[in-house]
Amino acid sequence: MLFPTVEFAAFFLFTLAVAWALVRQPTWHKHFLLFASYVFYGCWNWAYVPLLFGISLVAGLVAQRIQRTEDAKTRKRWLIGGVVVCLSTLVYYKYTGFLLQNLLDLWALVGKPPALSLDGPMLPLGISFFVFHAISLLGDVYRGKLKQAVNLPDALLYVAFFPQLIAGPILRASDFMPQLATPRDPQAVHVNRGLMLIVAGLFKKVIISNQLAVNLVDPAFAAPQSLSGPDMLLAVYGYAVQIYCDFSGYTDIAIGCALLFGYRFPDNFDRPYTATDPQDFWRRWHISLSSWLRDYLYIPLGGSRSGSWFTARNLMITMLLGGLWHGASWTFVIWGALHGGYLIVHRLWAAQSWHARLRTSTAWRWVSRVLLFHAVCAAWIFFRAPSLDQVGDVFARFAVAGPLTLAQTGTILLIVLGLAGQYAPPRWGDALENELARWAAPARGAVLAVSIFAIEVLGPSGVAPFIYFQF
Amino acid sequence: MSTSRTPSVDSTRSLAWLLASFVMVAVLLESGGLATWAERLDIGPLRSFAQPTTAALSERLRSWGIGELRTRMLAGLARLQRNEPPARAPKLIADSPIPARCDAPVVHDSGLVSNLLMLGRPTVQPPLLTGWPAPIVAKTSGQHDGAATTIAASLPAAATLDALPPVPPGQTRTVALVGDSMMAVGLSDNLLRGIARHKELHAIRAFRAGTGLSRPDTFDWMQQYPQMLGDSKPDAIIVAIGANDGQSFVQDGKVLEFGSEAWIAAYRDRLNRFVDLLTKDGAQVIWIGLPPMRIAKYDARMSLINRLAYDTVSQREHVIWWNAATLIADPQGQFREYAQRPDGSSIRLRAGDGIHLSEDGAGLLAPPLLTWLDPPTPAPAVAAPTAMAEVHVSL
Repeated sequence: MLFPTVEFAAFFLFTLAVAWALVRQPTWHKHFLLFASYVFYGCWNWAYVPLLFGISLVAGLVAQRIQRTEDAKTRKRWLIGGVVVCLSTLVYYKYTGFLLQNLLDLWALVGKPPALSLDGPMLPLGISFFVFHAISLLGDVYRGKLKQAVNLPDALLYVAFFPQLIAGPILRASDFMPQLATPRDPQAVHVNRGLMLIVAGLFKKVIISNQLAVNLVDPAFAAPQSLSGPDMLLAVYGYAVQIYCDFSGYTDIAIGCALLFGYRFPDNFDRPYTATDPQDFWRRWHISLSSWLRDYLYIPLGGSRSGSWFTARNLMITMLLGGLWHGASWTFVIWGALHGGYLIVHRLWAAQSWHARLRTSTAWRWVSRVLLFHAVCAAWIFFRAPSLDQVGDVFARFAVAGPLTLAQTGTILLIVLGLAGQYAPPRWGDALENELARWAAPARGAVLAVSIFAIEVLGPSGVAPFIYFQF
Repeated sequence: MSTSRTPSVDSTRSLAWLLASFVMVAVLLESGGLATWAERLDIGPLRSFAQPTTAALSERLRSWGIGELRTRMLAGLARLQRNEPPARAPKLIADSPIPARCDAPVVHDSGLVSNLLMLGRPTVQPPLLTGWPAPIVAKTSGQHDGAATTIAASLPAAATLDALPPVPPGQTRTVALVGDSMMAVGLSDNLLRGIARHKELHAIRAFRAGTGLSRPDTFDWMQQYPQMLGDSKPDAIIVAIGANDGQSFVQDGKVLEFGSEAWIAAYRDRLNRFVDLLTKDGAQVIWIGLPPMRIAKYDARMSLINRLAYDTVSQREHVIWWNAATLIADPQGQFREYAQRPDGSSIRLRAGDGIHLSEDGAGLLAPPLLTWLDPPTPAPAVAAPTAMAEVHVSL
């Protein structure tokens, strides 16, 4: 059930109405949301609902054991055991074929490996996200960040809550579980903000992302050999905007839907292409993942506490695994390695003192923005291309002179809109929200309907899946 | 937009009024869109309820003139899109040849090819899988008048691709890539990349994911295909379609259950009419059979589609039905996600969904298809199999 569909709209409106009707019976309210979340997931494939339930149940039970145990070593054993179960599940479903494939390829270099069946199970939708939720629950309980006692229904709902289930944002147990423990206030629903996020998300996904995919990016990456350098560059810029609008559009809709239920999700994007350095970029791009990796991987590895060599090592390990999290393919690993390299080079550069004054100038910030944007675009080529051969094809085209033939007015307009929109002052959104607050509810409902109607008509027909669903 | 800056809140009563207003206005504006949505639903209880309801609503509101707004906006957008050049792969800019990664072995025509159009041309022989069942094709009816419901009991193990004549110097051969997501995912990318390496070939992208022949109410290939071509007249067509067709559909107001005699007759008729459309200007067509699928229930449906398509299109002049499973399936003809080369290294053949081809899987189909489209000139003697071809010979 994709967000921009009639089916989801009907499901959402029904669920919203029932959830608020039950709000004075918190237990029933949460049980209903849990049931609705399983229905939402089951619409994709009922066979994997037990997996989702099982992971949540294991995480909830282990979290309870950690909370009830005083002995530090036993707590750690339970934590490690729970994380191993979660990660093993992820590895089994997502990486079995990839690992065996590479093992056989390495074996083939020194001898003939045995004949093996590498066929793995079908990849469950959203497994990377719900496994990370489960680990967050274990980690937050172990570190004492979650003060309240874990109860199983809340743990199950935290992992499965449908607005974030398929592609995030990755919630922290310490942020979301306390919300589940407190009844929602029916007099204080952030309706305007929620609806603005939903409309903005639909606009980004249906109009910008889908139109760029159909009219520029997909055809260009399908046959890069036929393109000139300027056309290839435009397609890469187009993909940079497409993936931003696709993913941030999804999370805007998810955050907006949650707000209408009375729950707050963390921000997941903060105008990432305005970043001036790689560290700044990762504070703005997929924030819930980058902060998850920072807190549950980079810092446990030692972070930046043990000198520049270990910092560089930890950065690279974190980004390599972050790349692998996106998919079982070397292209994703290299994408992560590139970003790891960017972060390391930036740390070395930032440690120099001779250009401290230069770095604070406006001109230099713009130079940095442009440089970083192109470095990020170069990495996106690995992210988008289905194979390393095609990555080579794309880079080879940049050296080919020729005319710019793909620059249709609409395409250029969408790319500019996707980039320039990130420089829009946040106060514009606040001003619109304040303005809407003065309108009567039926008028706002009519505006919402007209907005969605316009988006539906202007978008390409058919619904393309969100890019991040595959992860 | 940060939620922490939110200055305004509403009560759920206000939210209810807002959403009630939203639903009413949305239904008014989108009545036409809702009717289209309901029309495209899978056959079942939801569609049985939604389709007449939304159709009646749309009809009732038509007299109010509100639906006209939507119709005019869509017509305006369609006009804008018609002004764009037709979707096609741009011509090669740099003519520097890029060697193909692997090519299928090429053999001379044995002289036994029955199609007179192909006599004397080189034949592309796709490598065979050891252990593939012998080609037993059982037909109980050879009729193709739309009424025949008996179909082939099994599929041929391998189809010979009789290469097209070489492209005359100075001319180009226009190739249309046609189909649903079985063409759009993986295969089209591989073919377009390969075609871009052949300056004699020119590609037209005429594929659309989520389509098929079962549901012209969702996407009517008979109407859309000519629009996709624009003014072009392809000389050759590669078709990969059918993955969405394992479903019941409505025809003349009657629900035809998937696999029923009436369904088979109707689908066969649609296949024939689609082939008529593809070949009306004399284009040569390769119809790629669907590979085996991971989920058994879905695979059984696709097996019926395959047998029906083979039985129908292979009878037609200018059309070759090509069994992709000989390259993609395991030696028993069953689904496999990975395969091993003779040296033990591996290759991933299928996407994670167990339906579509992976990049490398599609890469196995592309070389013989490209050789069919643009055979080497002069025709070589029997070429030594490539490393990738050996994979299949040995398995």
